[in-house]
Amino acid sequence: MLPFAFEWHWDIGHIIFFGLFYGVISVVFGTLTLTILKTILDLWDGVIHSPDH
Amino acid sequence: MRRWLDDLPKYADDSSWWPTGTTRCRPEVFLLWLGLPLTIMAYFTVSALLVLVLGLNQTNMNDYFAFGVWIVVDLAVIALGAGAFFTSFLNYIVGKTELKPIVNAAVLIGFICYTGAILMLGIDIGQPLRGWFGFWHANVHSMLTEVMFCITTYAIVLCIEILPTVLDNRRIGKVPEFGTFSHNLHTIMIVFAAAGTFLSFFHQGSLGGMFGVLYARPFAFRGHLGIWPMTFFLFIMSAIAAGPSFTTMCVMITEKITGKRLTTHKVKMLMGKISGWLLLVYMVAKSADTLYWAHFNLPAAGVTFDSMFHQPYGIWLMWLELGVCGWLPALMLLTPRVRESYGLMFVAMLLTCIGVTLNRFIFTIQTLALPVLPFEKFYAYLPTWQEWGIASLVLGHGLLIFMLAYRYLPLFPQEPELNQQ
Repeated sequence: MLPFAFEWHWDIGHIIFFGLFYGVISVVFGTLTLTILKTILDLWDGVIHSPDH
Repeated sequence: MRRWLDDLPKYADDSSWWPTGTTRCRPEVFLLWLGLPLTIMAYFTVSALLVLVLGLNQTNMNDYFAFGVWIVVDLAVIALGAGAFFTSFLNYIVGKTELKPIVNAAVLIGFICYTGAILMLGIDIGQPLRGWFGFWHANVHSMLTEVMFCITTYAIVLCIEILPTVLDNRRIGKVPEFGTFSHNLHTIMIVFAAAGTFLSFFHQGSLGGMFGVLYARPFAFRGHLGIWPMTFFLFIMSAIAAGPSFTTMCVMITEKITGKRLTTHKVKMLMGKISGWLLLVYMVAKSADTLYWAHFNLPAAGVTFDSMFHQPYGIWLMWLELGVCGWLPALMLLTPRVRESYGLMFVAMLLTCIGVTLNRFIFTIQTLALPVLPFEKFYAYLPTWQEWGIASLVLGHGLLIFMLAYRYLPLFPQEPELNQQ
């Protein structure tokens, strides 16, 4: 549910529940995106890693 | 055609995909083994089709038993899968690197437990295509909303956590893009481990909290600490105690089936010790909670302790859970001589896992079996074969993923060294 949905209420329950939910989702997908970007930059610079790290 | 058949063993040779320095059984033997999970999944498919097409009349759930074996199995596998988040937490955040040889297996087992539970819940909700309604029309006053948010998000985290192990496959890892991505994921894994710990901690708690807030059901209702009922904390404690035991047990069973040593006994003993201490803390809290419930909560609700137990759910279940599958394995796992013995440690871990499963069964089924209105009776519940079929998905799906992962992924870094000819 997003704040523009008709069921949304600006109360403590919605703010805590969805704040934490979207917070964790942002951290997880943000970190994954950064890792993908770093991989692209590494490959661009010719830095290649093998599984035996 | 004849030539193709002659060349079949060459085409079927998958040894270049096996983890470096390991050997696996011949492909035809492996295919035979795969027959077991595939048969279980066929049983699941028939049961799921019957339930989805004909409805819940295929089950023995009714107005009394809104929850049945699916929820029992669901709660049990989620508790047993807690080894993933707790082992990752200890390895990546606390810095207990001695657990590194078993952390891949722990994450894989967690992944199996959580995805299995989600797939089973897809049938339980009746209309799987409307599964997303829980996100969009969220009831923020329900413990189950938090559970749903956390379980689905944690399943995503587990997919990311298992990804480096998949990319480290001998052939896949040779692709520079995958090898580099896997390396970068390894370096940032602490963030995912922290997110997983947060999510898992809260949904384990909320699963327990869901029972503790049932004000009209004195069997489950408990006193609160802040906004959380005691069951919130008890479910977390029992899950983190049983999770490491279940992970180690799965590794031990794999060792016995494959005839190979996968981790050193020292690693297993450490897992046993962690499980033992956590189980002891849980048992102290659980015993205190049970005493308080019997002496204060029940009289306050106007019922007696004896009225909570009817056959087949007699008081023996409570003694079995707290005594044989609670205090006994806790004391066993804390005894160094027991941990040194492969067999005894396995028995203690098995009892721990049975104990936590029994706890989830008692909270789900016995709570609902007890009458709450004067004109109601006490009822017992037995699942139909269709319900067992859907519950068996976790086993079939788990065996299939674990067998494929063991064959092709570097799950056990110590395996090549421990099995040198």
